[in-house]
Amino acid sequence: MAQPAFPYEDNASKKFQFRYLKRYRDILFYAFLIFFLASGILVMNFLVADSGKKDGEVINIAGRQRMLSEKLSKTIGEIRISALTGKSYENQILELQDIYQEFNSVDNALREGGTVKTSDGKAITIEPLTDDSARAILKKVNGVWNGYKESVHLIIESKPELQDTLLAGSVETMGEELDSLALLQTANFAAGNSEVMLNMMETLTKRLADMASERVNTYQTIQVVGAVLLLILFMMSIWRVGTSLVSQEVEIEKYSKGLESLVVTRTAQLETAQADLVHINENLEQLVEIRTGELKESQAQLIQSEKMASLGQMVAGLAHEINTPLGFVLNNVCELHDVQKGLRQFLDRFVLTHNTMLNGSPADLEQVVVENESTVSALNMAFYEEADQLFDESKEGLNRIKDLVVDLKNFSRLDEAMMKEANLNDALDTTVKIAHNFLKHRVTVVKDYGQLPPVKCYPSQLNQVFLNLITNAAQACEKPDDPHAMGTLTLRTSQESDKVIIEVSDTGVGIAPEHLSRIFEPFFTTKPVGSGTGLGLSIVYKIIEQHGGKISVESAVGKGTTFRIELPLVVQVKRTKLFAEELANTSIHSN
Amino acid sequence: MHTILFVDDEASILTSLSFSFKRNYNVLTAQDGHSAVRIFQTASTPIHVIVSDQRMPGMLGVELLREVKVISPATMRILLTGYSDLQDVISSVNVGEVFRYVNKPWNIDKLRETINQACQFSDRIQLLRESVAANKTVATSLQPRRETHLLFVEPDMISRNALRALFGGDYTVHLAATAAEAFDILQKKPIAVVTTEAFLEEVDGADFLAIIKEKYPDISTILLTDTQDASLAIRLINEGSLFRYLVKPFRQDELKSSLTLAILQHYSSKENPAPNALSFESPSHQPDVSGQGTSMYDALKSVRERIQQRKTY
Repeated sequence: MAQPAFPYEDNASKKFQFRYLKRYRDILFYAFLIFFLASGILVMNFLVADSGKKDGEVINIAGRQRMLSEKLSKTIGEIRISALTGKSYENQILELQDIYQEFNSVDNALREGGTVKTSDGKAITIEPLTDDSARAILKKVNGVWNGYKESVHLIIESKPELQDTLLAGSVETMGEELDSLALLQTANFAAGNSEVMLNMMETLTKRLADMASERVNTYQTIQVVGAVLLLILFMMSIWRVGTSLVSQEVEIEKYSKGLESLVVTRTAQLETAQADLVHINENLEQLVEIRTGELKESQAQLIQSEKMASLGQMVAGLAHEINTPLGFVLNNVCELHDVQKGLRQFLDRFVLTHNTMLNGSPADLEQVVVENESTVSALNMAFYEEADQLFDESKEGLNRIKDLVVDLKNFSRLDEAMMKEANLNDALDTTVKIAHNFLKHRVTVVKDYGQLPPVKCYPSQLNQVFLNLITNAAQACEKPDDPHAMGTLTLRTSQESDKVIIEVSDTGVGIAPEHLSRIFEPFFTTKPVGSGTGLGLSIVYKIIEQHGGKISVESAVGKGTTFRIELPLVVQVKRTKLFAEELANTSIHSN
Repeated sequence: MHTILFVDDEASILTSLSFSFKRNYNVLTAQDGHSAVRIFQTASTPIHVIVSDQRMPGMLGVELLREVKVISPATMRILLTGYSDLQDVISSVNVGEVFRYVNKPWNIDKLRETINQACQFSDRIQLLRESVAANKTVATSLQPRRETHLLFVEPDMISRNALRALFGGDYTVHLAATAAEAFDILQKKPIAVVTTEAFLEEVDGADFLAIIKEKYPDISTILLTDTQDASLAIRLINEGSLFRYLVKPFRQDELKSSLTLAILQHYSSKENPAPNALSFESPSHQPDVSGQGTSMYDALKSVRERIQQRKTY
């Protein structure tokens, strides 16, 4: 099953994100509104501040205008006094001219818009007043000013003597000239209207201040409304967040409950799966056990077949070795049986003769003797002497068979499953005897034994090693084109400090260098299919390894091969199962 | 008195055998092949039987027997060996062309009978050889090849076809998949050589060859098999008078030369009938050359019975 353990995990996280966006869309909208309102209020605040400033400026200018009109009437008054008292008023005329011009420009600016200078010399641009009542006041001011203005203008423009007249003379004296009259009127008017002007300017200023405060009030109202709206919105958004939080919590709870049930389901599924796994595992274990058993069996069979293969050669030799003496001993026994039959005849004749001598008459005795004649004449003493030889040879043959059986027993050491101290020279001798028939037409055996202390080992296993090396050596000396070729097999033993060295050398074909590194590998064989399992040397290697020893090989093609075994005098008993036990176990299995 | 030569590297064997036979035979002994050959070369009287060990230093038994066959063709060759390695048995047939193959330890009564029989065979062969020499009829290998009939008994079809392809051009080839088929062909055709597998469905190859040898003593027999069985081979030698034991996969030249030799043997024994061991021992059964009316199973039964009753190897 290629399905992931938690198929919902990925989908759940995606859904969650999507829902999150959808859920908080309105809250975002609220937030946006709040932001918008707040910034609106802020802008309004700026507007209030700005208009307040502008209003201030206008009021300021209106105040100046009022001041100017005051100044104007004051200056005209002073000029009149000067003219009446005969003092020079030239400067005052100049001052009046300045005031006139300034007043005129401000008046224009207030009505039509324009740039005026403030009292502190700053030039400001004002827009024309839009307020109707203010404009009406301005219109009145302008009406008064227009009349007034001409009079002032006349004063400024008239000749100094006339000015005197105008200012100091009476109306009667000036009657001749209309202009003078007008001037006078104007002066009077000016004097009389200065109060009116002043009042009107007062009214304008007041009106302007009212306008400013009105506007501020409007703005403030808007601000308050905005603030209230903001508050409401804020409350709403809080409520919204609250409810969504609650609903979210509910949903989370729902979700977590769903998760819980999912977890329960999944856990159940997992448990089932685990149970399945355990089951499968058990099956696997069983299978592995079975397979291992089968492998062990086949391994055991292979090892067995290797043993049989090397045993086969040995048995062939042994069969010959035993059958030969058995052949003549058996034949001798058959022959000696015949000899004994002949001897019994003599015995019968002897007993008959003896009894006849004791009890019979001389005539009887004579007849017996005559009858004996043919038996005695048939007597061939050489035949009996040879029979003795047959006995001797039979004994010798039986002893040979006995020795072979003893050797075989020593070789196999079936009664020695445990480690034993053994003399390896004796072990080599036994093996050579066992293999004698195999060796005798192939190699001349040369023994070069050193003095060896007893070695603690599994003698039967070492015998197997020796047999394998010795028969290999003998086979290496075979020459296909010359069945009578004889090689030399040298067995050399020695002791080196705490080691025993055994060397098995032959003068055979040698091992090719490319094969030399592989000869201890299981199943490596250069023999044709069917004539070797390729296990022999691997078993040798294993046995030596398990004895804590080492085996090495040197070979020259065409010259021969030497196997060198080093065995420690004290074998460390390895923790691993010893080969003998392994074999014992597996062979029980394979049965 | 017949002369026997025992060859064994084991002196005690020679002593024992001499003791058994010297009352009735002129017994010679040799401890190795070379001295045995010298005895043959210097012998003034014919040596009727040679009994040799196989494994001896210097010269193997089969090699000795091969030389003896050349020096003294009338000498019956018996191999007496301690261990039957298949290779030894096969070479005893193919190289030594042995009369009998006997395992150690032997049964002295059977060996006595066998040697007795071998001596009589030797006598008859010697007689035949003398008559042939006198009449100077040496007609072997003169037969046209196409008139030579070969029978191959082979259960495997592919092998049958291969054999036909191999020999069909030179000889008249008959093929049989079973012993019954082969038996049928044998009754109708003048077969010179029978080449057979060891195990046929209904009968054992050894029995089959024994029937052939009894009914048609002239026919040479070759075993061509992938069965490597030493005891079967010994039975084939002793009961079936096998001419050659060839192991599959065979070499073409080996099979061809074996067949040529087998054909030669067939013609020579046809002109100079050699005694058949089985008929010799119980001569009541005359070879039924016409072959009509005898079923294979009857023949098989009778052969088996008589093999059981045999006193020789």
